[in-house]
Amino acid sequence: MGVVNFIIDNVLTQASITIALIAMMGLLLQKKATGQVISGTLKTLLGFQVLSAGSSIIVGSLIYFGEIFTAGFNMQGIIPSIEAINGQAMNELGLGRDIAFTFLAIFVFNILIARFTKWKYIFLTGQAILWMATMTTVFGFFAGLRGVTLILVGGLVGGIFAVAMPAIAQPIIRIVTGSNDIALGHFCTIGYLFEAGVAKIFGEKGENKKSIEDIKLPESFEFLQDTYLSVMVVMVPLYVITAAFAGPGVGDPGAQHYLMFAFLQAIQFVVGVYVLLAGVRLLLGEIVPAFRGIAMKLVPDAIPALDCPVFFPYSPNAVILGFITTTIGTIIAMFTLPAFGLAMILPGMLTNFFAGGTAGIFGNAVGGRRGAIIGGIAHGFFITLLPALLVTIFNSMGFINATATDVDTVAAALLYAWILSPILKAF
Amino acid sequence: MFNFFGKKKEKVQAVQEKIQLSDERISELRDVIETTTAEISEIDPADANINGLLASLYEKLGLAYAELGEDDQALVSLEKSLDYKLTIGDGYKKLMSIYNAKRAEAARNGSDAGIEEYMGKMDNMRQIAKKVTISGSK
Repeated sequence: MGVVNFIIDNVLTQASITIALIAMMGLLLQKKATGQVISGTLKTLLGFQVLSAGSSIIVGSLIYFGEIFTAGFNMQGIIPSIEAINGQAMNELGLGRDIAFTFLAIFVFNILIARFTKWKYIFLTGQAILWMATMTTVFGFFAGLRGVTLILVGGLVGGIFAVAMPAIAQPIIRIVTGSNDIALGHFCTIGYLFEAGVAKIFGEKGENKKSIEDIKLPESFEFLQDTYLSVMVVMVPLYVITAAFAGPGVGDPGAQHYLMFAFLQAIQFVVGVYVLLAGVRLLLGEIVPAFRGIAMKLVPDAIPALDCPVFFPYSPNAVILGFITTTIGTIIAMFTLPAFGLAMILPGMLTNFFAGGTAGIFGNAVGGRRGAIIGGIAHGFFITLLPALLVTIFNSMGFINATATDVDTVAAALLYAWILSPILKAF
Repeated sequence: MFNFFGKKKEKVQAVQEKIQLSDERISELRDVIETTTAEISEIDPADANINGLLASLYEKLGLAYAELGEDDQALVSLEKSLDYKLTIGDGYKKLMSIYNAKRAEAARNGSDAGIEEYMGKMDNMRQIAKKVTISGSK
């Protein structure tokens, strides 16, 4: 009994150990060699701690950013960063263990749904599952769920999304790829369908459908290859310009010039993201291969739902056009949403490229060039509006100056906030 | 649900059914394989664009093998093509399709090593697609 209590009080309360044990279970089920089980388990443990460390670095910088933005522009500036949300959820709210178990639960529910229904999609983008686990856990916690209930409800909601999102995208993916072999595993699918809908209404039809001519990104966009460079390109000008508007005397630059301090705080944010994502890679590096191997064997006729870049080759010009038009849409939303009492959501370069690019493929498939352009701008507005709706709730939970990015995870959060939470409060 | 496409759906499904090759087409493909193999062996090693040329020829070879249903040969040729030059054309798409088919076969046979190998290759293909879309073929 003492041993059981020790395990419950000292082991399972430690999120890093919990998730390492989950990885160990996966590796053992895959019958890996002892050495591989030990190294995989330790890498996962290490990854979680690195992720936590990255989060601490980000939070300090975000607090400063909130101060200068309010001082400079008299409103709240929100950085779209699911990494910041995940980090704060794990560290400040202490939800790491619940997120870890929910991550596992989503995999399990995905496998169950694929095994026993006609929807054979296995969602393989591990990072996206982690963000979905984060959002369902955070908003389930906000709705009053705790413990096993929190994990099971989060796992079920996430598992349903893991099958439903590839399923609703598949009719268009079939058109794009010409086959049913692979599906899309990217939690921005609601946005893609939104662009497809807009493209259907406003785009070119039938014989009038023109394909997009060759477009290439200029060499200056090479930064998109690296996540941290993509973040830096937006954050450095953002912090410095905002600090210039805020003037000296905000934050705690000490003897340092306030603009130099702002520059270094921007770099600190980038460092935090770099460290956090390094942790995520270590963390997922063992768990995802182990569990996707199990999933593939349990659902032999599975259709793998893969990360969005796999579809870029089918329409690379649409990807570039999608990136450009989604960015235009996000900038329009950034300036117009505050007029409706919502926060100013600052643009996220990575979301604009990956989600915007994929949305461009959908827009082009349904409505040709005009569909991709009009749909893209609408998509950019849509993917800024939805996260903006969550800001008030994030603020009330103590999250600092950040919001989520991937719209399917935002939709899951709104499901909790607008439907589940009122139902639970009624009982 | 979400039935945007109606008639188009039937057209896509028809495309997916395995096409039985005519003897004439089989013979054409065998000729392509023979001439492309010859071109590869005759290529001038001093050619400045040797990587691009070899990539293109191996891609052509791989696509011919794939159409004949000789997936193992197709895989080798298409992988060689990407080794010479990263591209995201027909060769890329066919290779992705072959990897997925091999992954599915490994899953049916309960082969952990096979699943891991081909999922790993599909992960690499994701990286290639991202790299080439942003930076172009180099």
